[in-house]
Amino acid sequence: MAGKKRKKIVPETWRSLPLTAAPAPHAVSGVTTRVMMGDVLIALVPALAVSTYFFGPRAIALAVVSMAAAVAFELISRLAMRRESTVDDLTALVTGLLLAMCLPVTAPYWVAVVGAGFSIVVVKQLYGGLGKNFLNPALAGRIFLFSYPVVMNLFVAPGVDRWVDWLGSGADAISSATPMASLAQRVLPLELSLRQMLLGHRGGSMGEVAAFALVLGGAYLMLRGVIRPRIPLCYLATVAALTYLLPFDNDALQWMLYHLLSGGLMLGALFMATDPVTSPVTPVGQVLYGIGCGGLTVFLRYFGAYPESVGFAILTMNACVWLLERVCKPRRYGTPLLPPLHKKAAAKAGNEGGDTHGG
Amino acid sequence: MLRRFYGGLHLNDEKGATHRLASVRLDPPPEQVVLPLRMHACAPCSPCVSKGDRVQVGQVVATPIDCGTPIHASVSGTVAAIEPRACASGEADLSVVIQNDCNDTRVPALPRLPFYEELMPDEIVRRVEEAGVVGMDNGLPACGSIRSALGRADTLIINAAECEPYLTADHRLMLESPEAVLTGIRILMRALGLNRAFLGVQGNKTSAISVLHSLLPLRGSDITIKILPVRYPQGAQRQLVQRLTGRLVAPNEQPIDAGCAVFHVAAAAAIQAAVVEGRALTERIVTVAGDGVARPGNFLVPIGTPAVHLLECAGGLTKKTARLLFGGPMTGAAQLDLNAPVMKHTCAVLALTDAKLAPQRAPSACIRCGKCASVCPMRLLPLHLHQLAQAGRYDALSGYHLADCMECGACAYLCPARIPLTQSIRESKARIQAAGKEAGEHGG
Repeated sequence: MAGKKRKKIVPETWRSLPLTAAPAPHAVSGVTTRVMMGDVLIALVPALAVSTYFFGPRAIALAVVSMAAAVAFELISRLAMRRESTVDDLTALVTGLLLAMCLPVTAPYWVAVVGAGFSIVVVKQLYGGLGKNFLNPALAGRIFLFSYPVVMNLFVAPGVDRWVDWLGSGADAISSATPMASLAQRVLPLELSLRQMLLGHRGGSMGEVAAFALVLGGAYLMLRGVIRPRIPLCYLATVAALTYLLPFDNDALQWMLYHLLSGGLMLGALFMATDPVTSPVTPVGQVLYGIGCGGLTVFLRYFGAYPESVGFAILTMNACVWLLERVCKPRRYGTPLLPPLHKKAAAKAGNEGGDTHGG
Repeated sequence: MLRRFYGGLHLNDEKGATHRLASVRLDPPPEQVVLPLRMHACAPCSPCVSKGDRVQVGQVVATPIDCGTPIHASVSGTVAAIEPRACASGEADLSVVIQNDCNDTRVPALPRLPFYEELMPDEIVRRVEEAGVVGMDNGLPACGSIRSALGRADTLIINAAECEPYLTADHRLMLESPEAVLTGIRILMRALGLNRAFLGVQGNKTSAISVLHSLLPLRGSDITIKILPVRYPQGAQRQLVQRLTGRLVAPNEQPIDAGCAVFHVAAAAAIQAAVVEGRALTERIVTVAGDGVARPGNFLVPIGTPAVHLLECAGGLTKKTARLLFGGPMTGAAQLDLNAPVMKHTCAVLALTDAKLAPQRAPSACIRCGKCASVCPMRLLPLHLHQLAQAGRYDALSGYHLADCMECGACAYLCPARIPLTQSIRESKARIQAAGKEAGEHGG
């Protein structure tokens, strides 16, 4: 501490110190909700960047509009409910960005605003604000936007030379099939190699295309301790197992890999299903939740009306979280899984001959 | 996963400032020592000296009433008063105040007993009781712990984990008096009739580990040093037992019910002093640290030294000191009156500025991130305990095992919403206890 002068407090003057008393613990970690949400935003940047590379600056514009709308709706709704503003915990920004990731890049800007409004006002604030909603706000907003099927289904082929015009409504873009549409017909989309699927060179909503960028983001979140690997691993493992086992006359391994890489599965497994507010807290609960999401995703993809079903699967499991938490509480400390055999035998012996002492 | 404890977190151990500093005596010695009669976790002792008496170091000044151990004078001098004085509990407790004459005259010690191997267990227990030894982390009399373990323990565990940040007192004790520690452990083994003991040390105390290893034979040693991971709260009794033996001590039981006798390493050293050298417990090593202290260090402190004197010897406090703690930052008690004395189980006096403290801000909403649940060493769900308490559903809390909480503070440390989870649990426990008492009074 050379060069640093500390003013000493001699015994008589210690009463002038601004001492405070508070209950233990007195130390706290540096991670706040705001820091965690900031990490989620950072983790989504690679996927947004890849999307912008393939679809043009409209991707960023749509994301910005969605985030701004989410923040505005949160401010307005908190004001209208006479509560303090919670905008600086960054959760509205995250909802806005995640919602944008679920939209096709050709979606008109008003669609993003309407979706953000539903997500923030109805799904989140009307249920009590942060931590009190039972459905994932961004996903619920996306499902709500199924009310506008025409604009929501205009997917375009990616390409640096085919960027969608970022001014205007995007309705005049040329639509192209997505790999998910092929898979819904139970046919492998072999015009796209797996490498293209991984890197994002394919049609789909903004956030789904680049699987590797999403995995990078997910890995970052796991390193930072924002999400735990349990839910994504169980979700993806269940989808992998089920698609491998039921490939409908296609090559099982390819079928499984195409399914894992297409649609909103990576986005859903890494960013949506791991939303802390709407996923279970207990370890066993999280495993069952991941398996449930995976099972429902595959079931709906195979037999459902829409080609994409990750949103429906996760929202359904969100509605079951209360049950999972009640049923899957951790065992009490010190309670073994099964009663130990020797204690059982001793108890038996004690019961049979136990009149000599009181036990 | 076998033998590790559940949850736990890795804290920045902040021991760099003091772990290389040898413990020094206080210079100048304290002018007065204040010995609270409620020193142990039992009924207060009753004084056996009166105002004006001359006392010497090691002389009994208070005797226990039904359980507990005697309190001895830690300095020589005159009894200045027996009156209520500010104490670490925050209240004014009746204390024996001794004016130090700085001569350090001692009572003649009991005869040295270097051959402790030949002592009978009850003789050992008697000496430990007369010397006033307590478990140096919790204030419970060591004689009581030994008596309750007689015939029931099959494993002796010595707790040298010192898992809280800033604390280096046990580390210095092991470095400076390793033979005393080992002899104390062997005396405990003799008292309990065991021939093996485990000494659990966290891996960040490498110098102490190597010093102890050098005094033990390579193979077939009676005392095995087990290196513990640097996780908080590894030093908690149940977690220590789980890590070293794999046994799970149920929350309504004590470690001895699982056959494990757990003693603190400083208690082992004090037992050696009591049995072999016949010295009473009158001083202990205390770490003075934190960014509010000018010269942090480890001090060999007479029991009853007021904190203000200790801090003066450590160079004083900076103006920005915002909190003074007795104990570590996770479980320590904040003090507002610096005249509070060091007790037998005070391991550290910390002065922290706002930079290191939890901010005094309203908590934000729980986002159910589950960090509290994943870190809880007792496998509880603090977020639900808090939520139910907020909703007033105290009846549902027993279904979530509220009483198992050992208030280690790990959940509140990690909470991103800065919810005071540990305090919420404490309040729920107090409320349930008060309601139980009321129901008992009305019904009975």
